[in-house]
Amino acid sequence: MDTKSDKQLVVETLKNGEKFSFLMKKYEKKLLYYIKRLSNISQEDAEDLLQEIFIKTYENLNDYNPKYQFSTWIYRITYNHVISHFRKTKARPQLLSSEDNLILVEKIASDFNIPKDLDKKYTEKAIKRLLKKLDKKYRDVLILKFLEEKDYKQIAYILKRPMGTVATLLNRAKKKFKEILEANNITDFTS
Amino acid sequence: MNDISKKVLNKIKKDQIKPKPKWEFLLKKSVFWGLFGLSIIIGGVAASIIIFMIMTNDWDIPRHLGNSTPAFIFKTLPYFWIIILSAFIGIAYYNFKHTDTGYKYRFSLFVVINILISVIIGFGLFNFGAAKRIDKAFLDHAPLYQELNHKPRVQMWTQPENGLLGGEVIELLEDNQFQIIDFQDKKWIIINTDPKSLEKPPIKEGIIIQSVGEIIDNSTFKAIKIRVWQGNFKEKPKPMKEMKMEMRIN
Repeated sequence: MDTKSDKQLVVETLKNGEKFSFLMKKYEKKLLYYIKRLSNISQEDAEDLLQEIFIKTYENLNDYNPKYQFSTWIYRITYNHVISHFRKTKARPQLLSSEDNLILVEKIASDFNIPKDLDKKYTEKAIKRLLKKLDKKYRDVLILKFLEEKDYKQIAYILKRPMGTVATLLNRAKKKFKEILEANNITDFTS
Repeated sequence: MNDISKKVLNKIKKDQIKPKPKWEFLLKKSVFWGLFGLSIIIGGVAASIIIFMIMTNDWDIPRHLGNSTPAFIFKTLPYFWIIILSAFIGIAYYNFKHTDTGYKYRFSLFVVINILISVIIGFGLFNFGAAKRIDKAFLDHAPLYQELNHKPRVQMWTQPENGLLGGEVIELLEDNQFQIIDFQDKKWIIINTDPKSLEKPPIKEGIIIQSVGEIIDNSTFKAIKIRVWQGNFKEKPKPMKEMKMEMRIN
């Protein structure tokens, strides 16, 4: 079963519901991380949400279009469900964990050509400040690009936004990031 | 099997959850595509009437009145149909967004493409005469349509003091004169001095005309230019006697 593709697993699940466990096993960890990155809720709450997401996925299996990757499709369901959950509970998603902030710091720094000899602690402080100030739409894109390592096409599909918009959001996040660094007198970087 | 998978499978069994049938998704998609298509068509109809009203507008009149063209355009734009077109572009976008491919396109690009498609459909309908017929149907049957859409033009042609007078020809008189009833139900004698209209087929009773000229007295108007009303005009309800006669003939 491990060697079967997601598309094959979907076909088999539609014939025999028990086979859904293979898809769940494959995506459980990834999606749990993603849920917590979107919301920074507890492990227990994240697992509850994940169960709801898997059930929703199962119910909508006949809507899966094999033209797209299954992983992108289930990420879209996850994103929509988490956002919908916070809308209903009227809670605000919490910020990223310290660990994820660190990963984000390294990846953004690398992607945006910030010199590696900068005081990492200082940059991390600046980035935490930036991320705190960042609009949700920028954070969502940054999480998918740098933490979930999705490409532009996949991000566009998951967030249901045009690719051009995704690129614009990332560029704006980059500009805001630079502004914060400049505000903290960190100007010695290539643009 | 781990905990989450077990819980999910148990819930699926317990609540007898099944994957929704494919036809449900196909139906939903068809509805969105169908509504999208319908919105495009209605947008095209709105565009065709906008084109019709622009083409039959009295573009030569601002000069006569000494008004600026922008002010004239502002006054006579078919706002009703512009609002309809805008609304259906919005409805089309909403439905398109809910299709599989809709998310790929920005709203601004969608609007531009939609307007282009509406204009193409609009010109097509206009050239086939459909725009004129649809506008007439609305005029004759939709309450308040003349008020909403044609009022500025009617008002413009009710300015005898400014040399603009319109109305229905009710009686042909001698010496190139005829009587009209204007849009405020006032009767006028028109003295026709327009050489072009004298050459053309004669003015008939029942037609709506536009005349440019000058007021002579309270009920006489000297016309230097006359033409048949461009575009549509609301038919007045016929007197009962005339309707009964028509029914007997038919």
